[in-house]
Amino acid sequence: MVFSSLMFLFVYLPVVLAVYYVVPLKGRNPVLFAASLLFYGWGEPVYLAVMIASIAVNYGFGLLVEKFRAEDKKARRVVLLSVLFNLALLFFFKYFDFVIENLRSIRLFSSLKPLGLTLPIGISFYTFQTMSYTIDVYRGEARSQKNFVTFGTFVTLFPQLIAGPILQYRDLDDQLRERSSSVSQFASGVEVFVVGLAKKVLLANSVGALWDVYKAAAAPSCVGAWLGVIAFTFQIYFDFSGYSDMAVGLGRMLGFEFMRNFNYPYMARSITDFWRRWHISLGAWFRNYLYIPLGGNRKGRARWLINILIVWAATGLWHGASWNFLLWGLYFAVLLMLEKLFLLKGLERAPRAVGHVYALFFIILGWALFGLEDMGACGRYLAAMFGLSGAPLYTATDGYYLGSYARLFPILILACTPLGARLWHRLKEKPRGALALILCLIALVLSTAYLVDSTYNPFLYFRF
Amino acid sequence: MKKALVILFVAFTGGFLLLNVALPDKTFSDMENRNLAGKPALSLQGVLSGQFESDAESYVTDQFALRDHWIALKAYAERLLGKRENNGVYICSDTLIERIDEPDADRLAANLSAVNRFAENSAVPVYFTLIPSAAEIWRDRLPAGAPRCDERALIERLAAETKAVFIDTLSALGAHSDEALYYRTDHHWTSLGALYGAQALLNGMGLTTTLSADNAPVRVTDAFYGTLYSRSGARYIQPDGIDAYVPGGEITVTHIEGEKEVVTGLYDEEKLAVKDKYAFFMGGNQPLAVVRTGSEGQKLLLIRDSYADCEIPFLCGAFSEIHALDLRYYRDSLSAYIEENGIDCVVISYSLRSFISDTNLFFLNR
Repeated sequence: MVFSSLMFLFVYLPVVLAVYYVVPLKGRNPVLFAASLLFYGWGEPVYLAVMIASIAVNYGFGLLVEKFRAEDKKARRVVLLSVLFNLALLFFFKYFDFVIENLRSIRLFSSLKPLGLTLPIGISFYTFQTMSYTIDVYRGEARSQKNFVTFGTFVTLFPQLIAGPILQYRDLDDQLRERSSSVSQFASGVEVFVVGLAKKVLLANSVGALWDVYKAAAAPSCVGAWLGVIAFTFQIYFDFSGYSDMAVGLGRMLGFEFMRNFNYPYMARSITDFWRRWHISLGAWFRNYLYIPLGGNRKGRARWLINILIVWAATGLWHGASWNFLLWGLYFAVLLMLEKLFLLKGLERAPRAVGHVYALFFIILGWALFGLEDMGACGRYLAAMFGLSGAPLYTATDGYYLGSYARLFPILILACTPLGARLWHRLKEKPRGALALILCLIALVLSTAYLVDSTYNPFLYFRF
Repeated sequence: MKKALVILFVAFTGGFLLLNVALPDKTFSDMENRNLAGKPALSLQGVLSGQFESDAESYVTDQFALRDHWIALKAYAERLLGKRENNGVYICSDTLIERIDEPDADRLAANLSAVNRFAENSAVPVYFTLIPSAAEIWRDRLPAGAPRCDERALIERLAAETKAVFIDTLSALGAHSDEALYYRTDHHWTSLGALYGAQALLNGMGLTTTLSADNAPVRVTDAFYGTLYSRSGARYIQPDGIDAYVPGGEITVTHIEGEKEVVTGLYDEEKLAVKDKYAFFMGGNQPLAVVRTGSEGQKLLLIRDSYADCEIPFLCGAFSEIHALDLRYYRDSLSAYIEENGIDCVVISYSLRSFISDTNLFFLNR
């Protein structure tokens, strides 16, 4: 199920909230576990089996690591086994066909057949979370979870199940065992959730339709190609951060506090800065469980650069089993290396605008790599952006679309900046409360209207 | 205030849940002119395959309380945002115009070759015409730069490539582009458009005609809100009127569906009371209708889409019988039909919008 659907908003959510708050405290985790399984199985119940198997195996690994705490060698072996199990699960569903497809071009392997399995939704998110669990328990950063239902609740927790943030077990350990809930926490959850819903339904879907036009165009003009990729730049941010906001909001409604996943990424003044602000939970995961274990920047310059390359190749591939995602990851690896070696010092001294323009240019260029999976199409699109495709600079159709989105773009730009939030916090408590009420109602009503008459409501993370 | 926000959210989501449960299900939407999804049947297999879930989502969406109002609200918001288009309908200053995109080349080639194969194998003469959409004839009313299919180029290409005798309806309509050739709220042409179309058709077939736009029509309704009105959600557009130029008189129409035959007239007055008033002509989508005109003339087999419904009255004076056949619903051999009914000539008449997307044309050659 996805959050931005009438089924979720007007059937699932009110029923789950009602049951959750009616049952006694002890019953809350079981209710949440059952509700999350229903949420996950909706539409693809077959993959519930994969989910339950993954929960059971990782639950077992956690207990084993705890048991062998005194015997480090055995404990290490269990952790290794757990990492291998989770990676194998991810590899089988996500990367197996990609490998096969590429091997087939070699004659020796030409008879291999891809499996053609659909990717279980959210698998990249929950395998990373379960890996973090055994590793955290081994490192002594979290206690093992003896209660199967509580552990299952951690893995399946529906607010963050299908599109993050990627929670690390140690951050959630205490909250899973005991959490309070209050009217003010619930209310702040409503605020964040409704903001996220509006971002997804009103902003991302609207501007996403424009990207779809240019993505499918046979030969976009130069202006059109830029218009298209800028539309995608907005779409992916408002879609993804909208999902994260909805997750944080739903979490609060249920008494959880999740980490913030986005921090105005397009305000970045360098690519290094961008990756501190974009999909923060994924960056944190790779830093904790890959970059630092590899030695980070403490083993000499050569190892440092190699580590960056490894982490960013993995980050790229995490987003999808396709060459363009790998290329996208490596593209950022190169930019990050250049920044760390040469550029950052200069950028710090330069006027702020230079940093913003530089970062945005490379971020937008990156989205062209990310958004077009077919490498040929990607090449043609980039050529069009730089006027190398032979297509005209500008067409009347571009004018039509520019006109159609002329009022939305300023809204999108403003929503990328912290300006709104700053003004918001300057308001006094009372008018802020009243305004929150009005704005939430407007956002709910408009989002409902756009969902009832929805011709375009994509789920972008089915490849993650 | 915190409490009020919580109450607002719970009341909004929970309130509509209760409202949706309490309100009775509708089977048909007049506004959208389509059947709405009903309660999905619960079965283990349905749940496992995901069919139940997707049916349930359609059910919730289709039966959502105040559905028509939500759609109108979205259209209003889009308009406020400066969008000139909603759900594939261009919102022009005084009219709605359906957006027609460049066609799928394979589908188009398949449809043309079906027509050609039929024309080559036919024992009687075959005429072929394509009726352009409002987006072509009224292209100067579209928003500047609005993407559209170049229907003129497409029709000229098909005219050159067809093996049937092609009849140029485009030029006939183009000559009158400042007249009310199309409904403002519907994708069909008006009776006036059909009149010019019929003139072109009869001239092209070498038949004489006394049709003239000078004869004053009868206005049968002033309250026609068509398909574009529903799809665009643009509720502020004024309704259309529907005109009839040709008196129904003694003309009988026999609707044949399998073994069942129903005899009616050219016009179905009862349809003026429902939302889809275009069905006034010939009673709406009919698989096979035989019009006995009482005139002297040949027997015509008209293979057509719904644009022909309002054109048939104009053809009555030129033929003794018109067999109007919709390939979407007819599955028997056409050559056998032509022989059995003593058909003298065939006209294949489609609006371009349905010809480029039609998936039933291969039944021509069955």
